[in-house]
Amino acid sequence: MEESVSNNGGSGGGGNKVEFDQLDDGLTRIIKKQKTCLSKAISDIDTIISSLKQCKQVLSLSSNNDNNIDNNIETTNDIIPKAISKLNQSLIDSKLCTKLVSEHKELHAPISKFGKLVDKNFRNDIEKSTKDIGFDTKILNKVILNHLYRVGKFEIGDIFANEIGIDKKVAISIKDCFIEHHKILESIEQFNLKPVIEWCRLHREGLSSIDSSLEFKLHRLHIIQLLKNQKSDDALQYARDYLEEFSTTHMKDLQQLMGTFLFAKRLDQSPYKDIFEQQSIDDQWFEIRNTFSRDNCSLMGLPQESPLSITITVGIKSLPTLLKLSSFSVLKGVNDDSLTVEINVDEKYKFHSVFACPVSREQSTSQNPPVMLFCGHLLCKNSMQRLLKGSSNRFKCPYCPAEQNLSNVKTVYF
Amino acid sequence: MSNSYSSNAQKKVISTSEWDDKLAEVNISKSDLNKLVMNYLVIEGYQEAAAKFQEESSTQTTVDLASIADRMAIRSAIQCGDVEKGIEIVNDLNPEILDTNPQLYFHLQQQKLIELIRKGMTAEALKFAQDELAPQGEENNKFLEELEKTISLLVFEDTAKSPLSSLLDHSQRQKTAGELNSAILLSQSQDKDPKLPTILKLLKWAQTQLDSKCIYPKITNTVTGEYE
Repeated sequence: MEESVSNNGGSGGGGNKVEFDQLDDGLTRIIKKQKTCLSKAISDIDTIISSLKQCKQVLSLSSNNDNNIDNNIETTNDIIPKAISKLNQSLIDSKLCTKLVSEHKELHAPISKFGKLVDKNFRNDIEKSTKDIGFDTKILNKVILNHLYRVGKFEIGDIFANEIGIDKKVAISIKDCFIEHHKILESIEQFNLKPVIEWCRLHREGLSSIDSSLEFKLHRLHIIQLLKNQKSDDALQYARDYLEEFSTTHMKDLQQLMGTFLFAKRLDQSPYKDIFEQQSIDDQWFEIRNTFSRDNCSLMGLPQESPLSITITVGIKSLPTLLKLSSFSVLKGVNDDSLTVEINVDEKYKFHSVFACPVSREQSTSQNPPVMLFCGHLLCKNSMQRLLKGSSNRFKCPYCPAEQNLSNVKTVYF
Repeated sequence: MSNSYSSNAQKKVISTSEWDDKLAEVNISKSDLNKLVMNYLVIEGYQEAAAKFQEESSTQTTVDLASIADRMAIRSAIQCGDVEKGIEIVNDLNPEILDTNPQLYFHLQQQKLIELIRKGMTAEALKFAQDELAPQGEENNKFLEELEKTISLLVFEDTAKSPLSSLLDHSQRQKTAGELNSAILLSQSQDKDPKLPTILKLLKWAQTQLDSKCIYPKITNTVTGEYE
């Protein structure tokens, strides 16, 4: 289990870790204590029950003896008070009730501590970490709608689209992208390769442009399944029908696949036995599902993950750092949309280039964009303006001796 | 080696007469030359020429000249694609050759597989590969890789236009025939290559080395021995 929601790199992230280990330890202590208390309580209650049973036995004997008074020295009137008195004394001596109360108190202590631990680790003032930026609800609704369609919840998506009053054409255009996508994913789930092979045939040019190996993987899996089902003649015919065109791109894999034909009669004892194990075949189905999903999204110009998923992932990653910043009041008074610290996220979540001015070490913003000087060096606008002498439009590049003129400076857009 | 870059003006010049005098000082016995020629004729398989040369020059050879015919028949069979016949003659000549050389035996079987594929006998080729070659591939990874490559020919409609077409070239047959020829020679305690071509290679290399040091009468025609 990952120890922290924050990343440890970058500034200010370390102090706001959610200490899962501490929480885990606290919970373990409660469970242990609860088990101990339970076993002790059961033992104590068993002792009480045993005492009660003994008393009950004495009383039942005395009632039997009532029928035969002549043989009995003591009367029932004497036995009952004595038995109850004895029971009472044994309960007082054993201090069972007191024990139960004190053990319950012992159990309560770690539970109380755990509550404090939860309060300490889980912040309820998350809103402090965000700046008061106006947020477009329409965009959020669109992101949610996109997510619903993307995960195949078309009915819910339609209801949601209707409720938020989005233009039907827009909703349909988002939805249409994913209808076929999910039909094919469903066929893969049902171990049917035909629809995805047909899809590959129709999108061959596009798949080739992104160097996709999906089509070869599909044919390979089909051949493996035919061989596994001892249909080696069909498998060979299929290989001859479909594999030739992959000889330029997948020659090594093609050769290995053809090698399996040498052992078609005894696959489970062959050098290729790993390929035919159920786990390997399951992995290949899973890989095909993922590859299709990635390639189709790529051809549609979409990321493989939904924007909602990306936003939440990056948000969770950034939150501890932002919470730390909020406690230092660093965010106050910053009006633009820039961050005052760098937040390290995985490479796959970096969508935009970032420019840091080599002179001021500041990150560029829309108000302070990067500019390119005539000599080709880059710095941010504020740094350049500091270099301007008085009302003159001329200044020197901080990196080379070239004289610059303000009219030759160009704003750079990343 | 700074001399190698020096201009002709700085190089030592050796005249033809001076060169001839130096060559005259080198003694090579006629029997050595005869042995070289005999070595060439035997290894390259010129049986009749070797017999005639033996008769005329009294140069003895340790090889039974009759075995040259067998060796040539084997080479010819492999080069014509009749691997079965080649194996048969080898086993008649010396059964130990294939028994003690698993790589050679594998390559012969592989060549047989190639010939079956060339003839378009797909089912037979696959069965032969499964029965005869797969067990060898199982024991040796290198064999298995070669086998994967060969069996992949079955995928192609027109094998001649496939990226693996080199396996169907005549050069592949020659390579297999050459490997078998070398093994037979080795079993007869002979060199697998004749010495004469090696000496000619050595001559060329020596002249290249000498070119950088001096100007001399260079042999331009190894057949006639003419100088530059």
